[in-house]
Amino acid sequence: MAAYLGEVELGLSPLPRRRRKELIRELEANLIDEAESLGLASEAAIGAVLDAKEAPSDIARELVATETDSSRHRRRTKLLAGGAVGLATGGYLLILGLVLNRPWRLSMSIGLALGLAVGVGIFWVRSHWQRMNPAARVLLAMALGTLLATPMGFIMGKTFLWTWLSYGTFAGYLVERFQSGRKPVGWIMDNLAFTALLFSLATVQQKHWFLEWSDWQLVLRSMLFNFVLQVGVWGGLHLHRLLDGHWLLKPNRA
Amino acid sequence: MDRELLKGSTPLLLLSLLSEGPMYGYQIIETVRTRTEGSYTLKEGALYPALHKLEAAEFISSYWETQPNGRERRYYAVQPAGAAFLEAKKREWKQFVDMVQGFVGPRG
Repeated sequence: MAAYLGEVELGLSPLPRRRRKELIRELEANLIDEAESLGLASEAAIGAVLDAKEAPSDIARELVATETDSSRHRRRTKLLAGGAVGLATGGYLLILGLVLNRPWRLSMSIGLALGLAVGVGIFWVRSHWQRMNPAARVLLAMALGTLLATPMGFIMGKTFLWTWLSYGTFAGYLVERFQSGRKPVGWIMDNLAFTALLFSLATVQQKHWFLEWSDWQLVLRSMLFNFVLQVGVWGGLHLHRLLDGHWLLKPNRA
Repeated sequence: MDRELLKGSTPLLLLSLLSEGPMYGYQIIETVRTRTEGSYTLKEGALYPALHKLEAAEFISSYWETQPNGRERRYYAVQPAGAAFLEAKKREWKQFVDMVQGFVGPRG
């Protein structure tokens, strides 16, 4: 068995050492399970079973091809999913900027920061916390989103506006929350809660009651931006899953 | 049985099995062999790449678990995205079977 696994490992040489060891460990566990299940004890009996299997170089080739293909696919989907968030938020702000006569660079910077840093970052890292319970995943995504949104705090100039971090928090929350579907009432409640959070943070930051409820346009704009962010994350997730589905059902072997 | 058809269906077959509960590699091979009465044998060179692809797509996750005898096994478990994908594909499959049945099935 050691010789068989050694040959497979040799074929896995293009992969990083850690990944190679993990794949060999898994294959070894499989072979031991099979030997136990068949009641094989002698090396000769195990050797006979191994002889009937696929050649080690074939297994290694399949594994290496899958690893390479997976990395390519992951890079592409994370970038596109994050890009959807950036396109939605940046695009909305660009239109708003044109209407309100604000600099377009600001809209683009926010779109890039939200989409590429926050979007791609969360989509990329979340695979590492998949086995945690849903509440912990949401909290982690919110924390990471907040952290990745840090550059947005500097977007308005020299003063650090930490209210902008809440968009990263919201994006992180949405990525995890949308994983198992969200009803329309959930969308509305999320939007209202984060709009309220944003105005509360602005009040603390400005050290005076920030929101005049009579200023309905400001409230509406905030809610609309949050809605665009919701649509962006939802769209990004759906795009991600669509690409995953096509990729998975593509035959792996020639 | 058409092996090309089976190859394309491996991810769905695996998702379907894992939706019953977490399983390790050899357990999957044995379950497939038993359920197909030996007509389909999933080989390691097809099983593990398919599992790793499903994991890369975040449709399943994996974890190592130590057995009472001290040995370790890597278990795979379905994730919400995988369950949703499987349900969607099951619906598509049913529509497809119904449609084909309308042509090749017995006429009432």
